Amino acid sequence: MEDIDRIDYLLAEGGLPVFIELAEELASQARVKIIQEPSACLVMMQVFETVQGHHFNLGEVLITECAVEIEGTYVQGFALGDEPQRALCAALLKGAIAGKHPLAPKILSVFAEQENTIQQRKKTEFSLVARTRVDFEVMDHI
Amino acid sequence: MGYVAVKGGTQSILEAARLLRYFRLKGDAPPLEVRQIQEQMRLAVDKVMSEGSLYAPFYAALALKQAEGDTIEASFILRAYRSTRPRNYISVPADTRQMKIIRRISAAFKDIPGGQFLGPSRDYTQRLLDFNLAEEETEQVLKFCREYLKELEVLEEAPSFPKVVDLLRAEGLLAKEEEIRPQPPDITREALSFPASRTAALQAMARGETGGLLALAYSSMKGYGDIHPTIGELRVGYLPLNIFDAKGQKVYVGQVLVTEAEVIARPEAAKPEAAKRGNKPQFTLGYGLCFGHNELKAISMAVLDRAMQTKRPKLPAEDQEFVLSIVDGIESSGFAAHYKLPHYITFQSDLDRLRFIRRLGEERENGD
Repeated sequence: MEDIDRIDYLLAEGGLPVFIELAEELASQARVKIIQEPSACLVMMQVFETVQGHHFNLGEVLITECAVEIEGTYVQGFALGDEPQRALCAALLKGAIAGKHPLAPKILSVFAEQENTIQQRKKTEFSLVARTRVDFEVMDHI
Repeated sequence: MGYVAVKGGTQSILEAARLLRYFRLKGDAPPLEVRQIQEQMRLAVDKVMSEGSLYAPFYAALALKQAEGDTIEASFILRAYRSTRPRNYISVPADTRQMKIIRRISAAFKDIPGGQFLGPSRDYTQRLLDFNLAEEETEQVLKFCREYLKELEVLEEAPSFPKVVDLLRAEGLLAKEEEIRPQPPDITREALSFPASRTAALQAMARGETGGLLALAYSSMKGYGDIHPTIGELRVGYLPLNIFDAKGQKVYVGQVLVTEAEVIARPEAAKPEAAKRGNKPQFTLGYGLCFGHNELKAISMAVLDRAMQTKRPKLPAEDQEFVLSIVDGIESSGFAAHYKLPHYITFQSDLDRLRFIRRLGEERENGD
């Protein structure tokens, strides 16, 4: 996973309270300008079907988008659902990392902790599913 | 037919809305929390998102609360909300091979690479009323969760799973996917016209009403059709939602729960010209995919997808125009519901006509 992909993934899946804490700390130290307030909008989700391999429109997904300028760097933030705080945190924290703000090392270290937590959660979820693995036996003809 | 409008009744309409609210709240139970609906009525929430064609679990739960559990009404409310938001992005097309599964079964093969997982399923239960739930307490819930998670052997990695249909393709038993991938039409921007492309049909069914799709698919299963489906693979799981931001960079936004069904239908003989080229008979496939965990909808969609590919449609489930014109629950329920609205003038006209005909008949009988 590329670094930027990893950061987007962590911002989407990580714990919001810890991101809010970091974003507040960042906002007190950096020049932050909100270019676009968080607002809910739609994404048309497309998916490949497996008969012909064509993609089609499955339906729309509600997301939140916003844009900020942090120390002059323009960054967009996104979140699944109507989640203005997460979208804003995403924009601010991503911007701090992209702009190599002095708080960036601290943010990255929190991200590393979050990554472990998320991985553990995902492994646990799949391990529960794995308990339901089935191997049906074929019976003799009756 | 022309319609004549009515007016007035404002106070009564407002009072009806207040009475509706009172009926929801007049018992002494505490108001439902939206989170409770979202988490504990998850299949209803999924149905509302799928039929409302908007993936928004919290708002779908809110709509269910507002609609007092009526899923069609809730999906109508959700779709109305959808129309208030701008669509700013189209996702990077997701590949279901990347799905993080919570359930994966095959009715076609006992052994599939990666294995079958029943996941959260009610399929093998006896559907007996669980009286214990009537007295479910928080302490019991916590105890169950604690014990359920206890001694869990946590696996190192969640594997990815090959598609069963890809295995059949590798053997040449299914037609290959096409290399040219046209941009799909969007039926929310351009009205459906017939014959519709397959991708338009899939979009129409993905937002269709579960009961409507099921009834039509069942007609095909019951013999008013010739599909004889077998579920090659049924998956429930999460797909990544990726978009491109203003700078053209791909951004992961989150994951979306979906249900996917691939039904394998009876083999089709190769066309004579193709047979001369050495082409052999192959299976055919039907495809279903919808938001949330809704297996009946995905299976019904897949059966209808295959049925509508019939070369010479004879039966209702094979007739694309028939199927796609009636499966939208919001359209169909809206049409049925409109009959409750005043039709005084049109009915008076029918009444006048009937009275006139009867009078005419009586006059003839009396020799006037």
